[in-house]
Amino acid sequence: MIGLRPRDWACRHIEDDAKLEKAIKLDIGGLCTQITSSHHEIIAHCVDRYRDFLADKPPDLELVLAFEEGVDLAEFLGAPCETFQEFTQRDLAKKPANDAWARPAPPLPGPPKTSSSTIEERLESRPHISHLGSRTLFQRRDFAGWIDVEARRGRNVLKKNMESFAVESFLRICYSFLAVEHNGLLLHSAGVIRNGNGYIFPGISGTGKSTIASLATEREVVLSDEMVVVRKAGEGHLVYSTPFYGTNESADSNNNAPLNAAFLPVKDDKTYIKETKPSQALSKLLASVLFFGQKPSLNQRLMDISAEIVAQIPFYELHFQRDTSFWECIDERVEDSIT
Amino acid sequence: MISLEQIVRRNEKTASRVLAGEAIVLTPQNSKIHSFNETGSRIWELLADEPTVKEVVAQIRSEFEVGEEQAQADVIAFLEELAAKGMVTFG
Repeated sequence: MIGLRPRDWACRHIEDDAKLEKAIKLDIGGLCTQITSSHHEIIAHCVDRYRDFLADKPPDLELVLAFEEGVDLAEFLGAPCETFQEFTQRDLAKKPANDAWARPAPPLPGPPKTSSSTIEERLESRPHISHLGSRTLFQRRDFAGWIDVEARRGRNVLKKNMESFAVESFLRICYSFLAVEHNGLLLHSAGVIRNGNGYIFPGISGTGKSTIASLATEREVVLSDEMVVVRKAGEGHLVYSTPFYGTNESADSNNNAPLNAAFLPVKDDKTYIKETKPSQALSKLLASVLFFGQKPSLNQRLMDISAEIVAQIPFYELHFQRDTSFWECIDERVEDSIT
Repeated sequence: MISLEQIVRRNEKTASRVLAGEAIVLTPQNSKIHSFNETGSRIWELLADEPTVKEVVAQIRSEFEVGEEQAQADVIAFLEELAAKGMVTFG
């Protein structure tokens, strides 16, 4: 095994007998998932899609994936489960969600008021999530499964012909729970390394994550234009690339860096950087987190992890034009904050 | 309509944090993040002790310059809004 690169290792399994279960391991955010399946297409898809993130280290989560065809859903998952047809019919019958709460309340000052925003939901519809003991169960029109981050195991059944989106969505869900379990967050955010400093640009769709990443010069290493993992490491935090990209195809392979600052992107006709209030930073950070937990303890943990990031990392509002001048603004601001 | 004698409890599913006097509350049932202004944040803090509506009104009156009638109307309207958004229940 000495000297064997992860990709070689993964491919060797694919060449094995088609009936055998095959496994690959992915290292995302410093957390390793092992994906095992007897279906060649699933493994081949993962090797191709996540080739820069293949790894060979002890897994933090062992996942078994299968196609719906020829599988008894309840038996494979070890839990009562609707068929995809039953689930889809019930899902279609549901009324659309009332989004009236998402409208911001009138501004201060005055009587007590609330304003609300929504945690970013991307990649098709939100799965139905429930918790049973330490298991988190989820079902959507194209996959059904569970993960148990305490027992480090999970199972998932994919609807055939929808595997590409389903695998990606399933992995995002797994990593959202895995990150929180390991003092981190899976964030909708662009991420770059510049001068050895890690920066994140969290935001919901349309705020400019992909634009920021596309304006990277030869001086920046792009971690992602869409999603990064931020995790506590020692006294600080690290920001990691992920293979969950948006429009820019892929990150500059699997990298990480100490997280030095967060910039909330705002498209504008001039470039400048503004301070943010801690509550605004926390609210924006939470709105960028990918998380589906329903357990009170998990949600408080998510809140605590986010609040610690806000307490340790300076957050700014980055107003930027569509050119590269904002990088120097960032340098100046970071130098100012150090001195 | 809620009465002054009713106890107000935070929904146990919510997660919250008060930063620099401003409360941020997460309601996982609908993935919403709510932020409150100064007065709203203070009321949210008070709810940790499961007070009655009357006690909240009294505390707000003692901390802010506001008349009884105004305080009562504002607190009740705010608590009703929190209840409608799934953040509190009344006992």
